[in-house]
Amino acid sequence: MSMEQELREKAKELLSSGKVKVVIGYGEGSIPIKSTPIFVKTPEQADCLVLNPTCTNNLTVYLPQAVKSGPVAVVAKPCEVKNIVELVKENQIKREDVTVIAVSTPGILNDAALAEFDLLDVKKISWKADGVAVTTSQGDTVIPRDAAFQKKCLSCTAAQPAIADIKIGDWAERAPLQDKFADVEEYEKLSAEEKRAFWAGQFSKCIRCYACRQACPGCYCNECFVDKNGQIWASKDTGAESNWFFHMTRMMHTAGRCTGCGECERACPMGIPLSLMGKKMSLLVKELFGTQPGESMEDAPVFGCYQTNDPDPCPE
Amino acid sequence: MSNNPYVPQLAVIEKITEETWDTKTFRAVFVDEEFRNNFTYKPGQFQEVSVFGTGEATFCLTSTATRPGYIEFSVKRFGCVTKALHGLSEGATVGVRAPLGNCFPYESFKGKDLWFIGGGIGMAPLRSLLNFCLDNRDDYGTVNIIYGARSAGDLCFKSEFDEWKNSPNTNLYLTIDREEEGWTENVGFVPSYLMDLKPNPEGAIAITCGPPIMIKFVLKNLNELGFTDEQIYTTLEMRMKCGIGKCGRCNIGQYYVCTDGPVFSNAQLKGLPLEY
Amino acid sequence: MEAKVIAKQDISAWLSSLAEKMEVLAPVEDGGVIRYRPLGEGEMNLNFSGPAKSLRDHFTPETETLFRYKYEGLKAELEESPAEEHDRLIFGVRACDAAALKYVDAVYSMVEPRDEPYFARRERTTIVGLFCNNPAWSCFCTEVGNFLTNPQEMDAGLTDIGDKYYAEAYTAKGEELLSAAQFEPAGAEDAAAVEKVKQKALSRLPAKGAHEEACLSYNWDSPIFPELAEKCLGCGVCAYSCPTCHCFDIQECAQGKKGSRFRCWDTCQFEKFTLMGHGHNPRPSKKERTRQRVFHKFKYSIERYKMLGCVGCGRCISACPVNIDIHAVVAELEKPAPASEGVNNE
Ligand SMILES: Cc1cc2nc3c(=O)[nH]c(=O)nc-3n(C[C@H](O)[C@H](O)[C@H](O)COP(=O)(O)OP(=O)(O)OC[C@H]3O[C@@H](n4cnc5c(N)ncnc54)[C@H](O)[C@@H]3O)c2cc1C
Ligand code: SF4
Ligand code: SF4
Ligand code: SF4
Ligand code: SF4
Ligand code: SF4
Ligand code: FES
Repeated sequence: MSMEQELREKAKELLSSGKVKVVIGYGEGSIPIKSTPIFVKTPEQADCLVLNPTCTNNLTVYLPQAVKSGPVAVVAKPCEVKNIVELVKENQIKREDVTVIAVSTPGILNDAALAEFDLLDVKKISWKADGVAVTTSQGDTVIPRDAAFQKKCLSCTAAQPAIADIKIGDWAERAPLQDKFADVEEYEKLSAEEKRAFWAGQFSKCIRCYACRQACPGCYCNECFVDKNGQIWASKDTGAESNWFFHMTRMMHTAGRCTGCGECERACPMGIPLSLMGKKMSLLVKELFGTQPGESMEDAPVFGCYQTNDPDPCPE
Repeated sequence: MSNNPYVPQLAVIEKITEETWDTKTFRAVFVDEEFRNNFTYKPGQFQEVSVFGTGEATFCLTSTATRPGYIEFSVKRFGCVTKALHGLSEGATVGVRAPLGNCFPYESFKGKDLWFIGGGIGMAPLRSLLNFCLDNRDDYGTVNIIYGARSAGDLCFKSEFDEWKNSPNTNLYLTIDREEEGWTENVGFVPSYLMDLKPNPEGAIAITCGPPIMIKFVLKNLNELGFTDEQIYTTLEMRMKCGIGKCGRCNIGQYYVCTDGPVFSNAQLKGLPLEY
Repeated sequence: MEAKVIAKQDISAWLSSLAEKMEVLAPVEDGGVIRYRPLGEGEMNLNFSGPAKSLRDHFTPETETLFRYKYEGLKAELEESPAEEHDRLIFGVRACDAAALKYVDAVYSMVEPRDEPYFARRERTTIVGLFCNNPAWSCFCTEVGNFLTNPQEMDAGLTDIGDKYYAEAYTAKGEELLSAAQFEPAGAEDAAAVEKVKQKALSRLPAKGAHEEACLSYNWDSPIFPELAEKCLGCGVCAYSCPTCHCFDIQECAQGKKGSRFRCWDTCQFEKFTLMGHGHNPRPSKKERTRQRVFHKFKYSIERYKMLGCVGCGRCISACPVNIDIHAVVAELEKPAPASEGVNNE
């Protein structure tokens, strides 16, 4: 049975037994190069679920809202299960309200990999043993793994998830194709001045559409600090200082929550490398608090607990 | 002079009246003499008032152009700008962009009996039309004012009640939600007081403004009394910024409350999507 | 005027000579995003498929200071931001983006007073188009207006026909531009080449739709909106990438006794957009907010401005992080209602 079929079967069981009210998964997008989040509510609709290399969204972003109307099942890749762990630990959702359908895939397509294709002519995108097959009117072309997959997938070890109710896919530990923190290492070679100049350039592009925040499961606040319009904390202008303040504050707020799912960067219409910030922060969190977001249910949430011996350095 | 429509005129606060514990009426005079002398407006129009350093907020012009030389606006304390306004003293400078929006079709009200039905701060837009009509007393039939608030202390414009009462052919009906010591007028909600007073819809116009829940029942009761939707007018409140149909936030369907409103007849309202 | 051609290698020289008289902006690649930047800032890219980043920020910047103020005691003084005073040419504009200007012009001028900061820039800007050889998957400009064959708001338009560009002028300004030394009269084979390019581009695009009539029967309570609301993230990507979106907020930047008032982009997709003081929100959930965007583009704009508020650039489609596709949504809204027997639904 394919992973997709297996997923559909499990979803049907969950829905017909009444264990959950809705299964959040992926459905066909408006074009074969895209999939789209769907909310499956009946066993019949479960046949709309798909699982293929285009299934990129981090669906855990919907959980805090979705659990309000009853128990939910959600399709989550290994990096995204970590978001659920943090959401549970930070009391945004109850563990018993969420059935975690953990799916270990070979990897998710990065959009740039399709640059050479006529996207109107792409009929299907599927996994092959050695990469991703793109089906067009000319037949299949296989893009090799290191070109096809998103960076986060290339460094994924498919480690056992801290929580999972249903597991689909190949969970055998695998050797990562890339070092997860390679780009942070590159970045660390810059001087403090160069770093500042680098981010100043990046943030100058930001149009404050907040797609990064909205796509992020860690950004669950009912009212974000930039949105307060009674007492204004952060200006809504897109000047260098304001953008800097927005991003730095958001990064502080996602410390210990950012699992490196990469959705902020993918959602950003201006091509700002937001994951780099997240990864740098997660290294800092590891160094200072000895924990990695979402890796265990036992570690205290970085933001949710205070100890008198908490380190208090001022990172660059 | 500026042709940038977002730059306000400077005006000096000449007088501040404390209406209630959370509402003050400000009288302001434009600094620029030429602008002041040429400035005119119609009942129902509104303005954007700036407190520099805090921002701009929307208030109706509660004064009337028949009493020229100044403008007035009544402000209920809510958030930043309204709080900042409440903190001002006489002599302070504010910015004003006015007049904005449409107005009551007062020409078509001529010869009719008028029923003003206001609740709380909702009396502010009605006051402009009311004083306009009183200043052109002969143009209109009877003028009737039903004005209610939570308590006696919540009624605005108390200093004008005598003037209103004593105008020819003018009736002032006051009501508060609950009994209070020393209160001799009606007790009860505005919509039910309206039913007690039973205005005759023939040749009459009703103009209402107040909290949404009050408006809802006043409209229903007016219909019940026989007022047609064309005989009923109200002013709408939406979140506003530009006030000139550009910033896109005050639309109800294809209409912009800041330019196609804020005054609507009930007949017009019924043609709009329910998104206000 | 007769059509002209210009050799590809002469484009730079032509633009540079124009840049002596005015600011010239051209499409440049910047971190994977194609944007219009002043000539010389980055390498020009004229081979992109579909649209580049919209021109919106060149006419209404993301943040625009409206005036500055200064207090002395109780007295205040205002200092206006100077109006834009330099001429400008934007080169390589897509047909959809040029057409979008016509819509924004209408929005900002329909009700007096006009939006002068916008028109100060608009009236000093010359638009030179670059027609599409290779529409992107998300493009549907031909469905909302035949901009590829009937261009709007361009002074001149170029089409890539291999080693040269075929050029047509649509205004006197455009004619003057094409009278530059680098241009020569086009021959019959050039006209044939253009025809071929256009046909190929059109074959990738849908036919003209009938939204002007169809929008009148859109279903306010269509079940599609609660569905979209479930997955929509409520971000600003769709509106901020759209060339016709024009909504803004007005805010203050205070520094002690002085400061400034500015406007910045805002969108109906944000919850705070319509939230009022007493907590009432006319569009309280994403259901109302997704409907607002679709209805505004395809219904209210036709009712109010007598033209569609969507130019079919497809940006909101390709940029939406959750694949909400306005083209598909509108097709769903315009699906003929299933015939119901014996019911007279007017
Ligand atoms: C046509 C019109 C006429 C009005 N006339 C009067 C009047 O005569 N007297 C009076 O006291 N008030 C009037 N209002 C309401 C007044 O504009 C708001 O109370 C005021 O803008 C709140 O500003 P703030 O800066 O104090 O609040 P903010 O600090 O900006 O915000 C506080 C809260 O108020 C909300 N808010 C912001 N602007 C508005 C707005 N325009 N309408 C409603 N809520 C808003 C915000 O969403 C926020 O939740 C009128 C509104 C309109 C649209
Ligand atoms: S998604 Fe990109 S452009 Fe939008 S707010 Fe985030 S960083 Fe800025
Ligand atoms: S919508 Fe039309 S004009 Fe715009 S980029 Fe696509 S094909 Fe070109
Ligand atoms: S871009 Fe997509 S997710 Fe974001 S607000 Fe628009 S429709 Fe919703
Ligand atoms: S609504 Fe979408 S397709 Fe239409 S003009 Fe705007 S961005 Fe382009
Ligand atoms: S779709 Fe929304 S943001 Fe865009 S113009 Fe319309 S109301 Fe404004
Ligand atoms: S307040 Fe800006 S459009 Fe109405």
